[in-house]
Amino acid sequence: MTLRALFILLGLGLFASPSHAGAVQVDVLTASGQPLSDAVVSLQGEGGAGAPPAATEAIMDQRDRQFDPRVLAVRTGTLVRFPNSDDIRHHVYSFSPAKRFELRLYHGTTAEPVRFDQAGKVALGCNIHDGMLGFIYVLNAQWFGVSGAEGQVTLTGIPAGDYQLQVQHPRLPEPLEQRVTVSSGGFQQQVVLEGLLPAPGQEEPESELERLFDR
Amino acid sequence: MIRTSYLFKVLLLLLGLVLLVELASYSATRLVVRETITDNARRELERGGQVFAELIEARAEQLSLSAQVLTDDFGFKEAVALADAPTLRSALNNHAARINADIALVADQSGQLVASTQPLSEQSWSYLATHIGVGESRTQHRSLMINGRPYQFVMSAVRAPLPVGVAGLGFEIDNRLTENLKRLTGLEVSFISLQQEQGPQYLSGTLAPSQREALLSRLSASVPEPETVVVTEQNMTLLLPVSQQPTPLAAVLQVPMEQVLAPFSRLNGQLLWVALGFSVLAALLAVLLARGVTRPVSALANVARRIASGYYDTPVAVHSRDELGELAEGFTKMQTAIAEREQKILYQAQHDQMTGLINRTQLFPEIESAIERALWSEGSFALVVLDLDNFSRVNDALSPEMGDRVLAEVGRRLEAGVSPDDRVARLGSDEFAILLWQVDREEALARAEALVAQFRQDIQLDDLQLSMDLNLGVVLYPEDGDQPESLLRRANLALNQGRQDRRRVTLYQEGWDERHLRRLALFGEFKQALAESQLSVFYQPKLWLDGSGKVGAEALVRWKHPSMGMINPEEFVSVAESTGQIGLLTRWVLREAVTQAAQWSAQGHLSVNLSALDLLDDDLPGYVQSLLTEKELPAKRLCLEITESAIMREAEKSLNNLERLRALGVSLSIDDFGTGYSSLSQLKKLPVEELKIDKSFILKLDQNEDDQLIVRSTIELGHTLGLQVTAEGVESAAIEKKLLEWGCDRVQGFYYSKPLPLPEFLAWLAGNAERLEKKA
Repeated sequence: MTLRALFILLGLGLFASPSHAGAVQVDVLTASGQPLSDAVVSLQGEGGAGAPPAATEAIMDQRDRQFDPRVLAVRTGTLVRFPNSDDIRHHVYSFSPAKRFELRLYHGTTAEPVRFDQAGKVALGCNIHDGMLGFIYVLNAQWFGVSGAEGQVTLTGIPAGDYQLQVQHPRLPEPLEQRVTVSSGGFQQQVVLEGLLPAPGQEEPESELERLFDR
Repeated sequence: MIRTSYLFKVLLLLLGLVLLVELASYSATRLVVRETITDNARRELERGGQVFAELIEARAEQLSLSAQVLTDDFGFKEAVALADAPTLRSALNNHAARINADIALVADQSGQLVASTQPLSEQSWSYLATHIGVGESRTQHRSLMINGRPYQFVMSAVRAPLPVGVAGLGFEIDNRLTENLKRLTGLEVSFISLQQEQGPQYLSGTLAPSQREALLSRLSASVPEPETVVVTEQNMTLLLPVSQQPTPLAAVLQVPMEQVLAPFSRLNGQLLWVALGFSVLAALLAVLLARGVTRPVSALANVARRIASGYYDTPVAVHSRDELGELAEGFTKMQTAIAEREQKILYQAQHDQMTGLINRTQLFPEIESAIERALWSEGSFALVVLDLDNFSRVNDALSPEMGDRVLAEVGRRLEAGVSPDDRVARLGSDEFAILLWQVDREEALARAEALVAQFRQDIQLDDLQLSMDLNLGVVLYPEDGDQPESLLRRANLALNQGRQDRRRVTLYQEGWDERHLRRLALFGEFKQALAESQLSVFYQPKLWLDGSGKVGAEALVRWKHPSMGMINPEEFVSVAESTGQIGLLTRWVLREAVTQAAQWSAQGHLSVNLSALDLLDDDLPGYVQSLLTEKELPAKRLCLEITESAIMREAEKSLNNLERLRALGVSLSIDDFGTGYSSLSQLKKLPVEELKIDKSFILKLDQNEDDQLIVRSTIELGHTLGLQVTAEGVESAAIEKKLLEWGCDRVQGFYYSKPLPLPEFLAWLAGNAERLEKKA
């Protein structure tokens, strides 16, 4: 697998007024120019100061036999809860090196929360619903966000300075990293992701075994 | 013989036909059935091929499912995710054992073999990895070779939940599988690798070793077109490719022809039996049919035989409505028709058409049966033959048609005059016969007279009244004969005798028949007698009473028969007359007498008798003339004597010939004068110069006064007419005296001499001359 990360910077905007703190807006697009959701965008300041305190807890819900949200980004050490909003049991597991765990068949909010204390990408599955696929990105970065349907991530309160911009996506084999300088007036950038893998998991129909069982 | 052969022919024909048809239909059915069965088998094989393909497909899917079950197992996923080789190996072993897989393996996402239940060389793995496509997210299956054995192989990705590797399961295509397939499809199943370099190899299958060899050798010769049924003598074969890459693998499906044709050979046997059965049935039918034809035919033949032997009442026992029935009906009609016709012909053969009486032919059986009846009942009967005295005159005077009517009427009257037991027959022309049953002599005569009396009444035809006179000859059984022929002949003799004697009814007298037969015998021998000189001429001297001493002689023929002795001249002359031989006799006598008279010493007269029939012979005068010339006898010395009755018949012709004889210079004499009925006018016309008074008047002349009267007046009459008168039968001097007294001219009789043979007569002549000299 070759990594051809291409940066295309469209209009580097350092011409905003040098304010103390500003907003960073990143638009993530596919190679064909379509907005891409579920992209994780993070900023890591080189000075390493002034980061807002991140939430210590997060929720990865399961709704309609899907993880909700599909992609969750958390700070290292965050405790994630896995409530089950479906009226069926799920068996959530992960064999990812960043966090290996297993929540045996459960209902509602009975599952113990899981602390993600190691940065990395954690792929989530359900042992009895092969179509369920979710991701938790565990980050050390100071600022991060997940793109919505418009493919936009807006980070606020970013002091001016030089930053490491990182973009990750389940379909992107390797994270995209970039040095950026944020002025006081903020920062706006479009990121085009090339070399995306075909959409995994959730687009596939149910497996044949699943079909047999559901019958 | 003919019947049998006809039956045989029909049988042969029908049987041959049936056998031909049976053979043809048997062969055709056989062909069609064989083809149909083969076609069916071919289709079955094709269907078997489809079933086989589906079975293989189903098995592959089942194997895929097995693989997926494995890869969906959470523990297995965990093991793969952790890349824990020993755990994986044990899990693979466990799972392979559970689903009877022959090989199981796991590789990671990068294509590195992590674990396998069987040791796999690097080469084998890379071959597998290349052809099964590691990294594919979907489950795949394929048939391929692993370590030289064929496998069905499936590979399924392991997700946890992202793909972390692949798990593969291999199932060897072994004899267990092929046996199962054979059980399901009913076909012989073989898996063959078709690698170019090594040639075809038998991998597994249900064939026996020898058949495997045969199959391989055939395949190495040429690989048949796939998915096409090939039929050979032993097998029907279908080749299905199982995989092309990397090693060409094929399944060969076969069904032995023996098995294909098993129902056919059963059916074949049944067909043969059916054909045989039909042949036998047809033979029976043929026999029935042929007998149906020949039986009525032989019945008809029997009837025909009976018809041939004269039975016309045989019922024809054929009642069918076909042509034979028509023929039988024809036979029945024919019998009736033949019977009727025969009856008619028989009637015509036995009856006279004109009178309806039985005819001469039928009379004989009637007489025979009468004889038989008489024999049994010791009875008697009379046979009467009759004719009509004057029928020919009636016939000539009127017409033959009238004659026929007369005969018919006569027949009716005769039949009316007899009793029911009697028979009346028409013998021919105007001759009839009557058989009078149970009569004796007197009664027969009375009945005959009654018949004559019956005809005294004239026959009335239209305006004509005809008088018919009957002459009857009567014979009696058993006195006058005991055979039909003799009875009839004797009745006829009696009739003839009666006619001659001018009697109406004549009873047969004993001896007549013998006389008649003697005449018949004489007739037969007369010519021979002439040739053999049994005949001779005698001379009876004839004397002149005028004192001139002239003499003559009457030539009289004598027949000395070698066995019968002397035969009465009257008898054989009448035979000669009645048989047309009189001309011969007359000429013979003339020639003898003239020849001898020419040599007599005295110039005496020679008298020769002529028959009445001689007068009708126009050649006689010429014969006499040439004879006289030849013998140089003066005509005046010859005198020809004729009887009165001779001239009565065909008077004109006779007269003419007499004139011609007279013209020759021959003198003529009337013989036996006084017995006939000649009239004086006739006598006057005759060119005769002598009368000879019949000896019946002379023999007792000296005692009978009537005779004296007749003789005297006859002499006077003769002299009146200018004729010389001769008396015959002079036997005494007293008679001579009387005759001299009355002036009779010439005499002849035993008083002078009996008829003498020539030598004696010549002696007499000499003696007479002496006497004359003495007188003188």
